Amino acid sequence: MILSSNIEAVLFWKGEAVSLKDLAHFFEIDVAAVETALNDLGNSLEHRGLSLVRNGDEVMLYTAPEASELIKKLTKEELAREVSKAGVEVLSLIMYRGPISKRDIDYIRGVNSNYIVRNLLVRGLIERVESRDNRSFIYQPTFELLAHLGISKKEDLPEYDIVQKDVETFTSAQADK
Amino acid sequence: MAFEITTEQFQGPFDLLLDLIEKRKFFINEISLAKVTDDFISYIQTQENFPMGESASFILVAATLLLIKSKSLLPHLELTTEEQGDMKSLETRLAIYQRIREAGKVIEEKFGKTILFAPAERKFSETVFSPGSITSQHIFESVKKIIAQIPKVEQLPKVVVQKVISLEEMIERLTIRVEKSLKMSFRDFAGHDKSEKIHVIVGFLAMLELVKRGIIQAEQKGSFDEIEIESPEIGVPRYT
Repeated sequence: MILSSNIEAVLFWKGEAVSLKDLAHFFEIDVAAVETALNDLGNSLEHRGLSLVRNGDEVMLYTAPEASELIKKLTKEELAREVSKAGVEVLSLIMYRGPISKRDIDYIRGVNSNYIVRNLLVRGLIERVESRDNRSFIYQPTFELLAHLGISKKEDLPEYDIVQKDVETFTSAQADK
Repeated sequence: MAFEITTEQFQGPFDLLLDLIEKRKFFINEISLAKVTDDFISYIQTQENFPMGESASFILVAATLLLIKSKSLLPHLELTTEEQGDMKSLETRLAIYQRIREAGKVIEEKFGKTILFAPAERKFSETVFSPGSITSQHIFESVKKIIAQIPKVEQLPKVVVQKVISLEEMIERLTIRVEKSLKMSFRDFAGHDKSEKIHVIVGFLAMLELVKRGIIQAEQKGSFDEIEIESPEIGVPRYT
């Protein structure tokens, strides 16, 4: 069986997020080869019942966006839809600019975001991880958030690259002044 | 030109500031910031019940706005490097905030619309005890044995009691008739002579129910005498 199919089997059986590193280790290949295989898998899942969701260095199998209504009928879970206006601001910061520190969230919003960040953490839409360079915490989207937006990776958001570029332009313009 | 903004709740100073600028169709720069300074400050003054933490962030922005406005009116105003930094960063932060707020519309739109679902919780149970030589034939034999041992269910004769008339129907009939004649005997009501026994029984139950509800009064002078039914108040049922 080809590698991408093997990875599909592992992801299906696991039913949870698996890191690229673990996949590389398990199949005794390097991470780049895993990347390629995941790419193939993602492509082959188009127009199928499943979708491959990528969040940072982890991947997980979800149901396809097209099957959303169907599964909604089956699930008895309460699907909370509303997020406050401030919550949306923080979510977009984390989606478009994440991983991002709370200091930067406050800086761009011009107001303390403690309460909103805590609320989103409790709802499982964002998660807090330790940043690599200094010992502060940074916030990033969870699989749950990507799933609620119905996207496979944050780069699938509309204008993702343009927003990145615009923000960079603003920042460098300030430095030039 | 002044803009009335008193009802809306803002998510922070930038939310307000950006609204002021966008309502006038301005771009974000020092000139537009200087122009909305007065509106910004008058908004803060109308908000009496600001939470402490929030008001601090609004005032901080107001202070920077005042600096920008002062500088635009008095170009020779001396500013410290820190003040200059504040002014520059306010513009940048606002520009980024604007971009993110705009991008947020997509997030708000998409959220919860097309949800991808994670696998439902599964339980993998391993078979702990399994004797080696089970075949489908074995299972079939055992099932046959078990079926043979199942005690036969004896069929009890059933008599279907036909629904002749419901208590509710009877009550209604009785009410109408009592109201009609104000006073009648139970024998007349139930039609003892011509109807079946079941009619009499249901009729009696209906009468008792109506007595209980206080719609009629019933009187029987002696054992096996006629039961006289009468209505104390016509057409006004009392529900107690």
